[in-house]
Amino acid sequence: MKNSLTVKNLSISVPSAKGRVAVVDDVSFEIPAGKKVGLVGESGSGKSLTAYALMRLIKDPVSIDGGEIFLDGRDVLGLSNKEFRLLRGKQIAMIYQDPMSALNPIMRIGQQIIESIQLHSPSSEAVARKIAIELLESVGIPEPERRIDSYPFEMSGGMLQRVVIAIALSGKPQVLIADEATTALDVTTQARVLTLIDKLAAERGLSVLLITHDLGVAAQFSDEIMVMYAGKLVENGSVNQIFSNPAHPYTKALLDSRCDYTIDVNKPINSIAGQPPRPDNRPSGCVFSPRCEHVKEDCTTSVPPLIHSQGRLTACFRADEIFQVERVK
Amino acid sequence: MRQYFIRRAISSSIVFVTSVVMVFLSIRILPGDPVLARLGAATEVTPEALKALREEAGLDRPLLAQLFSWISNALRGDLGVSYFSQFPVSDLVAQHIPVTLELTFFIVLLACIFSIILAPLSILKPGGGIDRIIGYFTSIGLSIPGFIVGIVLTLIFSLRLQWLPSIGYVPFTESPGENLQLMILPSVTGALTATPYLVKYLRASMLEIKQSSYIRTAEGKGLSNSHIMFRHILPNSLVPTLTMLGLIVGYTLSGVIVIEYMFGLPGIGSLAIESAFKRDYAIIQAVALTIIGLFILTTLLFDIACGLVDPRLRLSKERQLEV
Repeated sequence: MKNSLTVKNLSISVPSAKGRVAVVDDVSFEIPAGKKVGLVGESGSGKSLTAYALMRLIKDPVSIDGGEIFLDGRDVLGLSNKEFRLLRGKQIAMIYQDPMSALNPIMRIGQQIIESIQLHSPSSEAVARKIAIELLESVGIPEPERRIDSYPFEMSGGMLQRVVIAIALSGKPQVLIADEATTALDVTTQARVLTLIDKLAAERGLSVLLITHDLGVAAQFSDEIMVMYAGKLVENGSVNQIFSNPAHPYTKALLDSRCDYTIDVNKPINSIAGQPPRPDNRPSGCVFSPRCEHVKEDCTTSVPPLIHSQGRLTACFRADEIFQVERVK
Repeated sequence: MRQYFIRRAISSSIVFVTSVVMVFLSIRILPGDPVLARLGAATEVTPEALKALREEAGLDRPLLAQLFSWISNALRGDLGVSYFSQFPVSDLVAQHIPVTLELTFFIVLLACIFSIILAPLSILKPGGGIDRIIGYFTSIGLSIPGFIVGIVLTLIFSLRLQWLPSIGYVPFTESPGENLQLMILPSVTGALTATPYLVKYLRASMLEIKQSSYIRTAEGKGLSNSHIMFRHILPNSLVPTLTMLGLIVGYTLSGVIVIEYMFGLPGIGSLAIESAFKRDYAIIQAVALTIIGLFILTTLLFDIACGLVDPRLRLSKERQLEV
């Protein structure tokens, strides 16, 4: 099957007192055309940086140290800035977190959409304006003819997130990255925006990378799930595999510490003991080993590779055992 | 917005009155006497004659009485007459002010042009070669006083190269060409002292905005660097910079005194200096009044301009937040 997006051995580093340290470490994945993939993990696990790397929006002092990114077969990191600018917004676009600060505060929202439309398909102001109104309508903004002349401060968070989505769609991209697109919104608005992205993706046949720390959101939305921990991809499989039958202890621990209406209110909420390691203080061997309840000697000395196991990709030496234990339960 | 203007008007009037009174009192506290200055080298001066002259000018009255009569006259638009030439002061100020306004206009125009070129250049690559060179020049510019810049420019362009006249004034209405030619050196001198402040401020403001999320959104659209710089970063950084520019215009208005005097321009500054030598109180007071008034007016105008650039300031009260 054709892949819209392929990432191979991506590494991103930041400077620290101990020299440059990797915050995204040897991450590889593929997003097949038309599929929706969820990338989940705690704050600081490197999800957003991975997304910015795909858009080539990584800025000093953060830098991409290695790896390859292929967008529709083209090597993204090998292109010059100018060459990539032609793809940015047109092939790959991003919905940013925190819509309140993602829009230029002194420019009308219409103009912010129109400039993108005109960039990707040269058209007159009037034509571009018409397209912008259609876009606003398609993202569910009422009275788009009037709202197009609003300034960001005149709109609510949910409406602004729709504007950000409209901007992302304005270049007719094939790949859409939604970086915590619903995190800044309240739960009902969250559901509406998510349904909207889902609908638009289906209509336009988009490949979507949904980045979230909310397992529920990821499960509801995605075809596939990737779990990231401390800069590493630890498990990658279908929604069903990941949620019903995790094979990586971190995924399992993450699911066990979920908190929703199905849990027993009389029991304390599970949590994973300890903290994720800081980028400048990552353990040798498996990054999760210090917090893992299944840890054995091997885990602290060598790094488990992300390999096929039980029908999905898992980076754990004891994946098979954990998978069996989980299945019996 | 209306409430803002009322508050603004009240605070401006307080500033205005306080500074005018301070000028009035301070020139009278200074040693020197207009009557003696007027008599000059006359040898036979009797105390009676001096007294008569003082009474005639009202200078024998108590300070407060002089202050109040001056203020009440000024409120009626009567600024008095020059003690020396006996010309009405308002005429003198009206004659000299166009030169000052023209000079200030050119200084600010040039400073804006320089800054709008230099600030974006320096944030292209913060800490890079261009940024450092611009940084050195702004530091040098900040530390060299304006009259030194003027002297150096005159030495080079007027005396050595003989490209430009160094002194004199021709009204624009008489000969626009000559007028502009005579304005070049004084304007550049003033602009070179004002630009460093503006560049430093604009650079800091642009740098901050360059890091913001909405600039990342703009980059994510695939927009070119120059589009992002001039359509997104610059307009947003103008909001805080305009207030600063208002202050710079105000300082320039009062600071051109030295430049006018140096280049022999008959502006309000030259008028003030001549009158100060002669202790011509009425003129000094009127000049101070004018400069203070213009200062307050420009800062107010620039605050209004901020509202024009930033819709949040302009519309926040007019339109209701729509959800």
